[in-house]
Amino acid sequence: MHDPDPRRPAAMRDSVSRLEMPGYVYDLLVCAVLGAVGAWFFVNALALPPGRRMVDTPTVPLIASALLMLLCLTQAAISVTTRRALAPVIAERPVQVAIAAAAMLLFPALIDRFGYYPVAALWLPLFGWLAGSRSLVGLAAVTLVVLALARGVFEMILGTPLP
Amino acid sequence: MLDHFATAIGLVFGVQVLLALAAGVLIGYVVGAIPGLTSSIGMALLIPFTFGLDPIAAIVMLVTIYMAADYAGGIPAILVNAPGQPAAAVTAFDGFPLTRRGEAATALNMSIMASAAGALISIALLVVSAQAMATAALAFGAAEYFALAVVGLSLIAVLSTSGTVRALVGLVFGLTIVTIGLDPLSGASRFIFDRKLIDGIPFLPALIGLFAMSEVLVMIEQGARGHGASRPDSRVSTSLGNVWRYRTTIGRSAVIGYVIGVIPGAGAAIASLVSYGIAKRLSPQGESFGTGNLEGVAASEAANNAAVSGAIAPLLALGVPGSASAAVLIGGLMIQGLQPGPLLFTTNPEVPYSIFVALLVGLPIMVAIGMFGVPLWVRLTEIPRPAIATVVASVAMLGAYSQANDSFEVLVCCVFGVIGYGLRKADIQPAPIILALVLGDMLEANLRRALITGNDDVMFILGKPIAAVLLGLAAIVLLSPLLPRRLSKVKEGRQ
Repeated sequence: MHDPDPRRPAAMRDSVSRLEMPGYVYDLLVCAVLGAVGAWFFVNALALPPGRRMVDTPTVPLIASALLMLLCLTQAAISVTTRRALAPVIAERPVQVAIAAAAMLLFPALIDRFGYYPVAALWLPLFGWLAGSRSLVGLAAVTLVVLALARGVFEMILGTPLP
Repeated sequence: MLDHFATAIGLVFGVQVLLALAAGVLIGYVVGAIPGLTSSIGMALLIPFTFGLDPIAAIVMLVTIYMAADYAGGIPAILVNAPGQPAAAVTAFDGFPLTRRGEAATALNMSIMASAAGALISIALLVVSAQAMATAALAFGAAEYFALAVVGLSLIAVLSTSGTVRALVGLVFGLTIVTIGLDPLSGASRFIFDRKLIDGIPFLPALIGLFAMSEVLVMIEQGARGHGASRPDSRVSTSLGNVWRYRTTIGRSAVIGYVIGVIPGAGAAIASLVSYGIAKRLSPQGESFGTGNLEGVAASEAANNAAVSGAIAPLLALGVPGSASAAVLIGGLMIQGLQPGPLLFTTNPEVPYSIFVALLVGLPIMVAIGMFGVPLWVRLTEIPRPAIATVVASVAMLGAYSQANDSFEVLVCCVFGVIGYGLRKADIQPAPIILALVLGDMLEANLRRALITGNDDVMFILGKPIAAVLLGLAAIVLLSPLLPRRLSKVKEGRQ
């Protein structure tokens, strides 16, 4: 996979455009995160009122979160023991993906603060550029189409008032 | 019965009713194809427009919106892995891989044909068995609903395309987060770290995020790299040949969809999942399900659309809605001064029979729009990927917003998009998580209700015949991946 920008020095093109990690390392990371989620639910479930029935308020969360931790541990062990057979995890254009993810997560707060249309008018071309579009006409066209869709379909026809 | 059909045909073929029917199909397509807009939302939004219509025209319009929206949800599921309806998430399992292979036209044609076949079979079942099925469905209590949820969850054994442990991690993750919100029985607060989570994780935004938004991030990875245009293999003869080839799967899926659709609260999503899981288990090419097997699309879509008629059965026979959309239909009937229930067949027989006829007449219109629309929709896949990614992300967020007119739903959608992308990199697919989100509440609430009724005696659940049969079925489904290996070992031993 090569960086589409030919002006960038060859050595930088490949290192910037691709992130590679051994499969088992990524699995360990994911299992650690999910295991932590399980632990958080487990600890908080212990604090729930116990109830008098066999299956009550804390029962299902306790069982589910305990199972989650156990399964994460199991998968981590499997990944480590079979690490030679696991394919590496590759993320191409990681910087663009990371910025796009951040842009997605910021979008709701921004539309609440500044309104949908002003934010979308800036967010859409930025997102399109991150997605790989380098045509100004294309970016403008997509922006107009989405804004028209929001106004015409969602606000006028479906009566969904946007912020 | 024939008299009533004749009257209904005369009514449905009136100008106003035909126009309402055609409008219903078109509106259903638009509503269904937009992720986040379900058929129930579309119907609810359009009810005020039906005030001035003749009762038959109004009901026919709502019913055809329902039918068309449930089909149209499969279009974005196949083209961009962004299901327009929850049940279409199952269609995406094989539909989107087919698009990636340049076979979008084939997948879309199978989708419309299987939907039509499923709908036709279920309409026939509706006409002959509405009353009987609805009465049987009322026998479903907490124990039976719990057992049905277990059957649904047991499909994880069949649905997983990556390792079983990875699939279980996804499933249990879903079962864990679905406990967020108020306890369904006691009302106690559980893990509500933001007051907007009081009703739990909003399901549709999470579904859109796991499928559509995670796919958007994958598209960003690929950048402006071109992709293969769809092969021009969308001839009707090819499509009909495929339908004939998978006729057993389609027929079986239609019956499963109808039966599950009849059960109030079960829904088309569960019907699609169960039908897909069974098809995968029984198919000689079951291993290729999830990688672009046309039979998977057929199984999902046939069941999905058959569930529409199934949901209407208890509505007409007993006045009990089989789904959220059917509940909206009850509202539509009552606004027109009609009371759904067993008396409807005697006091206003033209209404239920007009619904039957409308479903039958709407079907070819739906198929025609679908078939003629395929070349156009396939052209959408030739739009540069960055543009598709931007539009899908925007429409998905707009759809999520429209759930409650709150940006919190958009945040949930985006968060699940990032989660979905990260988990996909670890080969943990969204399917088990969706399974858990769909069935988790049903599982817990009904287990607890059943145990309360049975004074905490587990045998109370097993003592219910329907529940026992369903739990036995779940056990068979869970153990089924082991059975061929056991059988071949026994055979080897004998040799």
